[in-house]
Amino acid sequence: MKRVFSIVILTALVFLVAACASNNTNTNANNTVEKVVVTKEVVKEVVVTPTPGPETGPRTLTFFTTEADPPQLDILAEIIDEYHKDHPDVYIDVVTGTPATRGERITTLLAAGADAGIFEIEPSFSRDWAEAGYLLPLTDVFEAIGGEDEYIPGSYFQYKDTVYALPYATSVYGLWYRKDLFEEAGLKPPTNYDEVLAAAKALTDPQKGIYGISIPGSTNASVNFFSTFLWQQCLDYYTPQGELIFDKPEALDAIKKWVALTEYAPPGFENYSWGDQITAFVTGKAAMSVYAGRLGVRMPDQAPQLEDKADIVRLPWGTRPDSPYVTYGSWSRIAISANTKYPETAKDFLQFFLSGDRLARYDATVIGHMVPPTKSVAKMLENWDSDYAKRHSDWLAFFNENAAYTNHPDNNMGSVEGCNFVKKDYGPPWGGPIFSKGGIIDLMFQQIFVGGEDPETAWKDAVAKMKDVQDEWLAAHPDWTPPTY
Amino acid sequence: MASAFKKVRKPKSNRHRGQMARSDHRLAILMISPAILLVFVFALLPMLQGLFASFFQVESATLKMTFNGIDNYVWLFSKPLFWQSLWRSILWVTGTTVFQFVLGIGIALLLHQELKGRNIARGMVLFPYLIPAIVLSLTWRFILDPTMGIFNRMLLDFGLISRPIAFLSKPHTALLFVIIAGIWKYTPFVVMMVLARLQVIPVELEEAAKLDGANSWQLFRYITWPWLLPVVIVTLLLRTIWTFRQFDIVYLFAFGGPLFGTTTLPVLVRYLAFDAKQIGPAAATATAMLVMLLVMSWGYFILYNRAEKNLS
Amino acid sequence: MILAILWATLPLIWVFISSVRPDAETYAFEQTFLPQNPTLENYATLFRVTRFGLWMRNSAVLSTITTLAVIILAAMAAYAMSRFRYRSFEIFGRMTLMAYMMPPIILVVPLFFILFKLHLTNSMIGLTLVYIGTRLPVGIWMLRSYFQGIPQELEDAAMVDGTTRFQAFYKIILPQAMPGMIATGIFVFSVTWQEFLFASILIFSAQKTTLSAGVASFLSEDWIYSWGVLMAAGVMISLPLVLFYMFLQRYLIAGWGGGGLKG
Repeated sequence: MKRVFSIVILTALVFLVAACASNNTNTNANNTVEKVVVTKEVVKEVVVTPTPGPETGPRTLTFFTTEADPPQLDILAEIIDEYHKDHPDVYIDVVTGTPATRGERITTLLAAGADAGIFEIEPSFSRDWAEAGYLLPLTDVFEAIGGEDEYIPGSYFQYKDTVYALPYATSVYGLWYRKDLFEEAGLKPPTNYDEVLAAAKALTDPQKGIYGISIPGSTNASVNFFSTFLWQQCLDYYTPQGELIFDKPEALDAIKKWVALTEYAPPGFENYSWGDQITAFVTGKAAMSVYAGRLGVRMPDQAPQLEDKADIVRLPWGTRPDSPYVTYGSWSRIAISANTKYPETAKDFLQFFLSGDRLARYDATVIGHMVPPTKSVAKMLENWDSDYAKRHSDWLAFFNENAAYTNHPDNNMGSVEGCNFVKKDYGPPWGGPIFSKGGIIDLMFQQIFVGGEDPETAWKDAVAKMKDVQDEWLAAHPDWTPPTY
Repeated sequence: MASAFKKVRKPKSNRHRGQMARSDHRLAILMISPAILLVFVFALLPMLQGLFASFFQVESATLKMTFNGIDNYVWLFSKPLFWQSLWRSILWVTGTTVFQFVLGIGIALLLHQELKGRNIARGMVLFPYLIPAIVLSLTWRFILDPTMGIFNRMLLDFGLISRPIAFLSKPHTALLFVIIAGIWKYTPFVVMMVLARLQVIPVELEEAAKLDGANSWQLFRYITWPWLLPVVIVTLLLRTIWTFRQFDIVYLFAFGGPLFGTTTLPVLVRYLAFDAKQIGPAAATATAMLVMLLVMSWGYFILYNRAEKNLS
Repeated sequence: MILAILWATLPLIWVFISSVRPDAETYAFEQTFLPQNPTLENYATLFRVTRFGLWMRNSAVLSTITTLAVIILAAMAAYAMSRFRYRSFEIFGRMTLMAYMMPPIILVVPLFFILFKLHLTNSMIGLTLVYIGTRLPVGIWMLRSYFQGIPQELEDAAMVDGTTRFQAFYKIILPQAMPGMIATGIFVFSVTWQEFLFASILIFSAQKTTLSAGVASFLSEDWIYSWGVLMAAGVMISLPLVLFYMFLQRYLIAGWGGGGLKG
């Protein structure tokens, strides 16, 4: 008996070790650290075979989303029910995931040639996936919803004249400020850097516990908020072709100006992230704060007394007359797997979901924070039947008007050239270690704010690291060619 | 590994062999097999794989492994971040365990006295131990928040500071408060262990000592303390091991920041494996931790055996 | 004594107070110590805008199954180890001790691939197996010395009377070991209920995750929009453990004092 037992155990051992060893050498589909490698490698093997033909009988589609808050899922379920009533044969399964794992999950499916259904697309993967033929062309849906007349420029994803992904929302960041404090101090809402700096200085009063402007210094929010500042100085990290330009001395100048503003930030700003930007403002401790629509949405609950005293303006970072206006934001988009079993049904549902009052209801779950991509839905939301929309239709109009100026450091490489802003829908493929949470830019600011390092040293250090990351990536991908526009 | 199981065939010391039927052996093996299988697949195998990986260069995108000897260790030991993390780990372990024991033994002695409301107090004092790490980090972050926190509010109201201090924004104060939170959460564990031992203290010993006219300090020094010592040592062993490998509290408190100020060794492993994509060095760090743990526990076992002997 | 109680409970009292404070008061410029209009609104919001109820159910199912499985398997293994002193069992015992000291962080990456091989990534079954496998060493270690403390004569006497060994184990030894098993159970349950690392890495969909990992996603994704709601979450996560503990407190002290954790 004991002998049998030890043999069984031994066999199990050998089997397990073998299984795990082989696992280590040939599993790459589920790991997407180097996003582009994975997609490109697999192209050669996967034969994309859409199955056209009549789409009848019971059909089930999957819908993958990261908008997993119950209110959003409730509305989505409502919309799916309505569609199902008109198309009793069509069933739609909602699958949720987190933004952190969204790319990984879909890559695994697409690379394996499986049907990924309808899904929220990872912005930085869009181009490679379109190139690889993973995505179903959606130009006809785009035209049916209203085409260029209806969609905000840059909101949908287009590659070589074909639309592959359609947007449902973005957030638009602006400068929230306290009208009452500005009036008391005899100040006007700031329109450029000098004015915002002067106002921040004038309104800072540690005795009262009020500080001029809230700026997030901690990881993730830091890089994204600073980027808006950089762009408005007629600068960017890279040219559209991927050449590093953040090493220009003007970039250091921008860093210094940004750091100068933080002198009037509330104590602890160096640890502030997204949520703290709202907290500082709604507690009345910051006279100005950079944020998107959610700050306004929180106000009726958290600071009803401030609701009438607050307003929002464009980010006033300009230092010269021709400074471009650019703000932070990234369009959330939906695509359909090229391999899907029922392409026509999927497209039909997508069109249903992304148009008319369906999209309006969906975006109204966080009204003003989810800014719609189409003009007609934007109008619907400005006249939405809710107390908040009625009181603040001017804020909603502000977000709608500025949605075309959103840009993202990791998704839009080289959108600012000189003092011109032309949005580029391609991110630097080596951008992860630079722009992600806790990446090189975040760390540069942590070294300045927390480590007390001199901006010049921190900047030089960051530039050197950025070069290394890019060189290393390019060396590993000799086939890469810069995008052409 | 394999040889360990082969030896099953020739058990060298089997005291009960004579009394046991064949079915007993089968039963023993049946009873232990599921545990062996599960522990093996989900604890030992991944551990061995981790040790194994520390000698390889692991490509993060493809997980392709190339043997590179001790390169990972050389790389790791040349990084100041590793030594800084080790130092922070030492601070974290000693800071939390020392105060846990001072406070814990004190509170246990106190709660052992015949005082009014002792039972309720016992229950309440143990609460922090039951608070999950996620809640603990939420709680302390909220209390220490410069904008919202009660702690800054109190300091301001008492006029001790003129503007709020962001305790979690500075590497040193962040680590200090992680340690305080660690003390807060785990002191009850020490209380619990010591109290349990105090309850079974032989009454004759105490009474004999009292008859001999010992004062309360002598009573503690010569009776209570030697009685407690074995439990104190075991508890110290457990606490040191757990504190040293503790990930959740430290990580959730400040996510390793600011500027790596709360990056202890386990947090460093996470950073290397998931943020820096350096899987080989991450495995090397974990292996180094394991070696340190083994050395520590070996030392404590020697102490424990000595204390047990002294007692008898 | 009062000082000790205050030190232990003040932060928790503050969490509770903050959880019943309406948002408008939490975010007021000058917060009052006690809420002016206490409300359960934060709790309602918690269940309305997050998947808290689902996470709670997931955590409860995971922790219960893990605890039961660990107690049963560990009791059997510990009994076998305490009564049959084979060399291989002894080695297994040593190895469990080593597995017990293992920093969990080292296990995470290899575990991910083992689960991937078994088609159990992002699955609650996979996570449960991981929990059982990693908690078993503690369970075996705690129970083994407990069984060693139960005299051999008890079951020998029973076996003379004609019961089989398994019946002796089941009917005589297990009831004797009950306090130790309860203590082990409480320990395993509370550790599993609190677990964050494995859950946060091995599960990646919002529907399947546990309380700790779910709430942590608010923190790390910079989602602190309402401290009141977060404090309500804190109360709700801790409450089951506190109740569970108060209910079984007697066994806990008895079990641990009885030598459960002694080397």
